Parts: sequence; C-alpha cells; structure tokens
Amino acid sequence: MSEAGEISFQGVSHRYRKVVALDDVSLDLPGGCLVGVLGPDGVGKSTLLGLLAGAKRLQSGRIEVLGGNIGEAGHRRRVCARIAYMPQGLGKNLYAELTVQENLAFFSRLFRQSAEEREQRVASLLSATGLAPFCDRAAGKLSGGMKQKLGLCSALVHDPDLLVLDEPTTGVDPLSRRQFWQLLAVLRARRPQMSVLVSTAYMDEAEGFDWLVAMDRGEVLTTGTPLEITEAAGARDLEAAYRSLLPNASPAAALAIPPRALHASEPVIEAKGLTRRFGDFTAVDQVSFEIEQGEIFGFLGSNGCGKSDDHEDADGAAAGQRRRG
Amino acid sequence: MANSPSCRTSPCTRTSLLCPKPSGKRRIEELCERFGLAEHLHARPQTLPLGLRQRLSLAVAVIHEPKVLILDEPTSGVDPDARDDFWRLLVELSREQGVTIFVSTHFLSEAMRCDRISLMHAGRVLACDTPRRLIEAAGVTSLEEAFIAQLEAVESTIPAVEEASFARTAPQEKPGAALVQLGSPRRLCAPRRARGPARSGAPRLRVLRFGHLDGGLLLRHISRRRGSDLRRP
Repeated sequence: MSEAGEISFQGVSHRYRKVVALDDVSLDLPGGCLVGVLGPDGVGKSTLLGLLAGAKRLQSGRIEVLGGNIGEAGHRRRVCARIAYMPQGLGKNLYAELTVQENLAFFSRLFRQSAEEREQRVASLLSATGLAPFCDRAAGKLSGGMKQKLGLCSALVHDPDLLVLDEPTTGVDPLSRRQFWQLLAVLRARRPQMSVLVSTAYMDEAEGFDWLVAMDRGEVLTTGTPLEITEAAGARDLEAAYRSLLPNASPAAALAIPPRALHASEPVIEAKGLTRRFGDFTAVDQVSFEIEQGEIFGFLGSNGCGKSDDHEDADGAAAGQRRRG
Repeated sequence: MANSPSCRTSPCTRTSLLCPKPSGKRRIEELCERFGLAEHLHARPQTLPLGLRQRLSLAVAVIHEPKVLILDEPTSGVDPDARDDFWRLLVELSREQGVTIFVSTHFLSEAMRCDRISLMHAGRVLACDTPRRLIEAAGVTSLEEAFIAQLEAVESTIPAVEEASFARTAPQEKPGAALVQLGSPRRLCAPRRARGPARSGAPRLRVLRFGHLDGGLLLRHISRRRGSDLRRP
C-alpha cells in the first residue's frame, strides 16, 4: 500500500489500436510536490496523466493512486472527488457559454459544496487569479491565458489532493505562462500537501519542477530532480540532458547559422497593411513588413484558442474576409 | 483547403515526391539524399516518426524549387534533435539557395535562430527586428523577457475586451498532423497554379500547415493573398 499522495505504476501499457502509447511503464512518483512529465508531443504524456487521473480506462498493469488501484471502479468512485484533472487544450473543462462565476459555481455544485462554502471559495479563487473583474464574462470570450487560469480554478474549487494538469501552458503567450506558474505556486502554498502532476514540452519550464519524469516513445527515459538528471547526464542544461538520453543520441555539433550574404537587392516581399477578419474579430490588423531574399523571417506568438470551428468554417470565413490597406 | 482525406492514403515517400517535370526523377533522388529519406522510400508517411515526416513535408514543399517557403509551426511536437536537423535544412535553403523563409513558432529557442522576428499578440505585431536587437532594446537578457516586456506594455494599453474578442479565434487545427495535410498525391504532382494570368518569375509558394497561431494566420493570409497584397520586384 502506498502512502497517501504517492503514485506508483506497475507494468502499465496502453495502446490506441496498433499504436503503443505506453510500453510497460513501471514508475514511482513522490507525493506532495510538483512532478513534471517531460517530452515532446506524442511520447505518451497525456496517456500517462489520463490513466492515473482515472479519465482513461486502464488496459493493462496497475496504477496505485491515493491508496488504491485506480483501475478498480470502487476505488475510483471513492477517490475521484479528491482528484482534479485539467485536460490538454485551453478551457477544455469549461463551459464556454457560462460566465466565469457560473463555471466555478457549477464545479462547486458538482462536488456538493454548500452555498456558503461555494461563495467563499469562488470569491477566494477569483481574487487569487485576478479574474474577479471578469466574473460576468462568458468563458468562451476569455483570452487564452485567462481561460487557462479559470480552468485551473475550476479544477481546484473542491480542494483536491491530487491535481493533474495536461500541458497547461502549451500555446499560451510567455506572459500568461509566467502568470500561470506564479498562480500555481500561490495555490500550492495554500495547500502544501497537494500533489501536482504537470506535463510539458517546454524544457525551460521543467527546470523549475521538483521532480521529473522524462519520456520518449511510450517509455520512461529517466526520473529524478532536474539537477540530478542534468548532472547524471553531465549536461549543461535540461534540454542537453534530455537529448543525451534519447536512444539514438548523437553528439551532434551545435547548430550554427552562418550570416546571410548581403544582397544588394530590393525586398523580395513587401506587405502593406494586411488585415484579416473572421466575422467581427480581427485576426491580423494592419501588418506591414519587407523581407529580403534568403531571409529567415519568424513569427513568434501564442496559439489562438477555442478548438471549435473546423477547416471548412475557416475557409468559409476566409472567403468572406475583407481587406483594407 | 489543403486537408484532403485522400492524402491519408498517400502511398509512399516516393510517390509523394513525384514531380511532373522530366527532371523529376533526378530531383527526387537529390532531395531524398539531402533530406536523409533514401532509406524510407517505401514507407507510408503516417508510419514515419514525426521528425522524419516533417523532413518529408519539407522535401515535398521544396520539390519545385520555390523562391519563398512558408512554414506554419513546422516543428511542434518534434524532439529537440530532430528540430535541429530540420533547421539545418532551413539554413541550407536560405543561405545556399537564397530561399526566403517565413516560419511561425512558439518556441523561443527557434525564434532566436531567425534573421528577424515579429513578436505577435492578438493579431498585432508588437515588435519586429533581429532577436539580438529586440533583447537589447528591452534591456533584458533573453527573448522571453523581451516578449514579456512587450506584452506587459501592450496589456496596459489594449482594453481587455479586445483581447477577449481575439480569443474567439476561428479555426484550430490538430498539431502534428504534418504531411497528411498537404494534399492528395495528384495535387502534389502538380503544384497549384496561381489563379488569373500566369506571371513569369513569380515565386510559387507552398504552405505547410501544422498548428495554429497568430503568426500562422498571418502566414496563411500571405500565401492566399499573394496575388494582390504582395508586391514583387
């Protein structure tokens, strides 16, 4: 029997038809701290988190969570109220047409909190996240960063013992990312016994976690604190350490980019006042730039959000777009 | 527009790389060699590891030797080593063949590799310069801090409502769907012609669609509107 808060995987495998997402994973995770699951997309992070949160059906093996096997319906029923799970994708656990306040109240009711308790909790979470001024706005109309915060609040409204966050900061701008980690630190300080499991593809983020599980193709590469992992690999940072752990790691030379030869040419592309609208919202507003031949020109920004419309909608909207400039 | 189900059945690397010109065969061999695809000629794209599939996507995109290459989050979901390999190819295209490359990303480390970058938020360009100069101008030590400084400056001026309306961004695509979005093998054989009268010497563009972000929207906008918005010398 594991201690409360500890999680242990024994021989867990998971497949999606022929694709092996997890391959015989055995693993012990410490409780009461911030554990990160690290690796690029498609290595099995989400599957791992979904399984231990009881959100995915266990196919083989055993996962001990909060003192029992999460694969057993009885145990799952007993502990599900102590687990909070925030799935991947912005605001996936939210109801877009409900307001910020209503979303929180809904989750509070779901866990049968009294009206008094609800009021007090919702108020405290709203003030901690800075969402109070927006409490009457529909969740669907929040920005990506704010949705993320609301998602976290909704997950925390019932004081869980285990918080599972699946890629909470993917596609969020750096400012919102920083604010999200600050918020999580505040909420953890309020409830230090809570275990938090986070998956991420950003190596720089993972440097700040208490304990890490580095994954590759359904297998666990290594575990330990960021410092332990970095030192064991004799690398200068976590990213270098992760690379050295990959099965076909090659001591590849650092990528060197030679300076661009100067062409005395006119710009190859000149864009003036690009504007693009989808319905009543402007996605691209009066953007102008000049690009020279051979230039590598980058656009750095956060994802849009709201995984709702599909391609046809997008193309339809594009067809109806208006341009000025 | 590029999302055709038939590409799911795109038979193998070689067919994907078919090219209508008589020189096609030679070009395919050359690209397979350069992009490290030679051992995988008969593999189906969806069975390839993502990093390799991404390289195949790039090979397909440059098969007709375009002058401009537009890449929408080409490396999301790819491990760091494969990302470096991909960038080696981009550097080669840019520096040796003078291909102009637009690339959108949300990895700061990738942004550092660009000659110039646009920091974008809510459809606006917050700043545009070389990464080094952006960092210096903000008086900080990393691009992340420079971006955060720009965002903080903007958040105090743009009303929150506007940000909220931006949140209603229209489409979102599955990241990492890579090659399968490029089109049917037939379309791959015949690069799309620009509508309207043919222009000689006009750069032909190929769009790789991966994720979705402000930069991505802009890229697609550029590629669609190239006839009217983009003036070429």
